[in-house]
Amino acid sequence: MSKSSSILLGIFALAVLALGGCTKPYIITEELAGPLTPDASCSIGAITDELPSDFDLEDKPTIETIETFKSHLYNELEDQKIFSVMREGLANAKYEVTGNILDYKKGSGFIRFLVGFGAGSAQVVVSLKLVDLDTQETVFGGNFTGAVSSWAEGGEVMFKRVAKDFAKQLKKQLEQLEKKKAKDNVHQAPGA
Amino acid sequence: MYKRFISQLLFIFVLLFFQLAAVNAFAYEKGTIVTKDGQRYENVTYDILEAYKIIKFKLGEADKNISFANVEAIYDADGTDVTASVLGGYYKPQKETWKSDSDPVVREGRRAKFTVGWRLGANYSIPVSDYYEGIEPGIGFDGDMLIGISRNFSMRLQISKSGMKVEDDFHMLYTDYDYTILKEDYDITTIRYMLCFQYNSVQGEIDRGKTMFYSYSGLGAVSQKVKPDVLVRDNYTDILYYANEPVTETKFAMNVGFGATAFLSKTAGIDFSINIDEVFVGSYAYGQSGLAFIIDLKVGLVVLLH
Repeated sequence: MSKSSSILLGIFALAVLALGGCTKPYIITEELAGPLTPDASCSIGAITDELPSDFDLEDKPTIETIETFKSHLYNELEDQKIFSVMREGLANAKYEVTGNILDYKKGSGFIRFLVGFGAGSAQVVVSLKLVDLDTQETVFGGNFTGAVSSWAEGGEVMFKRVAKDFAKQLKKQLEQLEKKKAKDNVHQAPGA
Repeated sequence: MYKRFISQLLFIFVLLFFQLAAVNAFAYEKGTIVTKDGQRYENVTYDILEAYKIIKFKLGEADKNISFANVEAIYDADGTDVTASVLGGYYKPQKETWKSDSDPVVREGRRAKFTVGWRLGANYSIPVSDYYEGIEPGIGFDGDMLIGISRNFSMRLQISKSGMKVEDDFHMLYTDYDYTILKEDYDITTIRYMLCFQYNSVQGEIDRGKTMFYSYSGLGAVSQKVKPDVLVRDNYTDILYYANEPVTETKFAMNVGFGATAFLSKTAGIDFSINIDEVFVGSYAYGQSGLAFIIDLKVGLVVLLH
């Protein structure tokens, strides 16, 4: 085999690794079917425990951790400027973000620092959805995973990542719908 | 050349396989899925994406993903409810409200499995290395104090007296024409003081019929006292010399050990363990090892307070 084919193989191997490593940290279960009501308000609702029945009580996230997660959700959705008003427990809100914690591993920063190689890593799987409170229908949702394997990061960073992915995906789908709508309008204009 | 190419290709495929395997745990099954929001998907071939807690299947041309949290029931091709076997612990999740660290339930859940405990037992100590040449194994006694720190960790204070003794035919003195050895005996007393950190593993709470497995490691000292009982006669003057002054030396030591305690009740159990002490004896003789080992086989009774 020539030297150039070896290099090509190496590049291919790196590409495979890169693609494998860049697997999406989420799977969307409910695609956004239509645009959200303009200037709508949104409330951050309950994050409930859906951990398996054999999950140890002592290994569960604490109420403080969940509160932190809620504040990350609030901040990330606020940053994306999707809703006009956002608040936790907002009365008469049009939409509500709710979630279920499906898996959680607190991990250990000390072990991450001491051992590395993935030891002591923290992980969370959360099912998040945006519910239209008027119709009680889920308009957007997905299962999001977050992980921390670096000793330099605290365990709560994974919740921030989950919140960010959720907000960004929602924004992305909204933008795609707007683009599609604009395109349709252009096509309809000559005949109108 | 081709061999190299094939090996590189194989390497890539192995990498690809592990990457995919890490993300998806495939489990193709055919059945009916009912969701909590009332949807029913008949005769679908679904995969379980364990990493995402998702059930995935084709609905026409499109992919359909359903979160474990939204699954009401799964039926196999015969109509049997297989929800429990497919979802495992997610079949009936905990659904508890979140509790804070200060909540009594959480505090109870995190409480150490015992507060303090004692162990009394016997050991059979086997000395190993050049340093213990002429010393033979023997039965001794030991006592430990256990202090529960957290749910799985405890401190272990260990004091043990080894039953090691000097071999009957072991001699340190050599006869010559000037002296006659009338009596030569040695009595050795080895006491070890160790402070260890112990990891305990027991399913649920300690109770009758439960077994607690543990391992520990620690630091401490080994005090070794050798008391001679030697009588020598000067062949020219007939004067007798008697030596019985003990010599004591203390050495730094480390230890590791593991064992199991079978509980007869919530507070008492029978304990079996193996302990290895590494004694730093230093360069006591040219060309000989500076490390010595004492291996103990232990049995004892344990009492724990909760």
